[in-house]
Amino acid sequence: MAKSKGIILESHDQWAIILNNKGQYKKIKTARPMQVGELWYDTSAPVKKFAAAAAIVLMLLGVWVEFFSVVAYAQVSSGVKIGVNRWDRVVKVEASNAQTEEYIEKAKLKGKKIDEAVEQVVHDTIPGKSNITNHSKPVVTVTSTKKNETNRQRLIRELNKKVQPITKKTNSGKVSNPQNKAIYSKVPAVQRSVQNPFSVKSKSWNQPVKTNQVPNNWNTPPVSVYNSRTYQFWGIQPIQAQDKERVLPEKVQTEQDKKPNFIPVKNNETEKFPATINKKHDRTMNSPRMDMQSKEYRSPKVHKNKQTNGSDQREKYNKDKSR
Amino acid sequence: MPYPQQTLEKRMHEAAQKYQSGSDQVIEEVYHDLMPFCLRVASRTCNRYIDEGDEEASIANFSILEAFEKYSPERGAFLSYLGRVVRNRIIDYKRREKKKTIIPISNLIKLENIDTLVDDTFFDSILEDMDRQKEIEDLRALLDGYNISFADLVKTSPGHAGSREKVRHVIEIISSDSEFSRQVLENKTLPAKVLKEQHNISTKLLDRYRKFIIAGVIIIAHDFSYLVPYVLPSGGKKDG
Repeated sequence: MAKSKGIILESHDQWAIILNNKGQYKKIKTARPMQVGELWYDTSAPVKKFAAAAAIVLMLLGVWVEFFSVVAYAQVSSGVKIGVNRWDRVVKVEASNAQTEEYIEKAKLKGKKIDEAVEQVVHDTIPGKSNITNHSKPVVTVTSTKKNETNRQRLIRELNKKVQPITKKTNSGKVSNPQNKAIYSKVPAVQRSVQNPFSVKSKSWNQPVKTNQVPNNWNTPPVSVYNSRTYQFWGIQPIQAQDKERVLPEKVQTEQDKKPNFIPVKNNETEKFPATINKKHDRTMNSPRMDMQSKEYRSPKVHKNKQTNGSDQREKYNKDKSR
Repeated sequence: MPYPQQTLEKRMHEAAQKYQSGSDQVIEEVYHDLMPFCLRVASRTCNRYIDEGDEEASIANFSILEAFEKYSPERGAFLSYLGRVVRNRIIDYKRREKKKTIIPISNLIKLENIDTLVDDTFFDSILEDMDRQKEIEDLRALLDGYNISFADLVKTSPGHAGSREKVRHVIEIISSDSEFSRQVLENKTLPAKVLKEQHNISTKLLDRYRKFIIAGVIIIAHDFSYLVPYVLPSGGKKDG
């Protein structure tokens, strides 16, 4: 490293004029009075450069640490727990048993975007397809390590977009939000089980769904904003049961409601992840969130009617499933 | 005069011989040439600026006398011998000061690092500094004729490395052409028109860095050996 050096041309009490080796005339500060003709060596430059380098290293270190710090967990019911950093990247994957561990090693989830990772896990662990899970349907739970509710809501929204298309065939999977229990319980069970027609439309549905309703705005505020009153305020139209699979019988729902379709969280298990604020799961976790629902939903009246002939629906559904 | 310090050394050598053969006026003749050197040695020794009114300066005066008396050619170069004498006397003086009851703390601290032996490079560097100073003073006198001060040069120095290189190139062109440099030195103007036609140098550049270019041309034309390397372009274009 070439040190800056110069000749003193003019000397004053605290400063001097130099001609440096870059050919520049410069005014410099001097600690001691210099004499004209003396050589001057720059001692400050290496210090400054070192400080700049140290600052950069510190910054990189900070980013490095921040990258590997988990701000939220997404837990899939098959036993995979995915830790995600502030940039939605998977940085930590935990397994509840040996089987899932094996799967995790194969899947290479680390470094992926959270939605891609969860999509993959849900896809790979759909009941029947894989032997990892013995639960009837995948449930994704999002818990936040920090008290960062808006971030968690955003994650839930994003994951729902990905998970729904995969799980709809098995009448399953929703990203659930355990904190919104109260609101979900107000919504009738049948409505909760209805899929979002937009997610149906967007992906892998064989027949295009004709919808004439106003597109659901995904940027609507999180579900917790809505209560049952705003729900009634929306124009609720009776569902057009064009597609059998889209009309989901409430019986299945109730059956699954009875038995827990997620990994039962024991008390000592929750202590393993002290940061989670995930309490006990309940049946509302399997239900769709209100903001995922469209205006195509059945009105409460229709809902009552459906309940009366629910047994027929259940049979139809079971037939479809067995096929 | 390529090596002023050597001529000074020669003169001093002769003066010392004259003095020892009995002519006392020699010291008065060479005193003004020696004093700046002694002051520089003193200020290097004390690590602070010393001017002729300081006590160290009077010590230097006595040291000059002592050096003239005791000097003999086998003791090496006269100037470095003189420097050593000045230095030793000042250190002695500082030690005597130290024994007194009241001493400024600053003196105590400085004594720690002056009590070391120095070799001839110490005095050589001082002599070099003096030569440089002489060159710089000459340059300042020359620049005064153009109404340019060093402070002006600070203001007009090209800051960007690229433009600096361009300007240095212009300086090189002017000083390599005798006609151009004559015009600068005698008419005190830059040959802007010719430079633009022949070398495609914009008048804007010339106008902006006029003072810087003139200073550079003067340094090269008068062959200020210490300053020239700082003025020529650094991009491996040094000839000779």
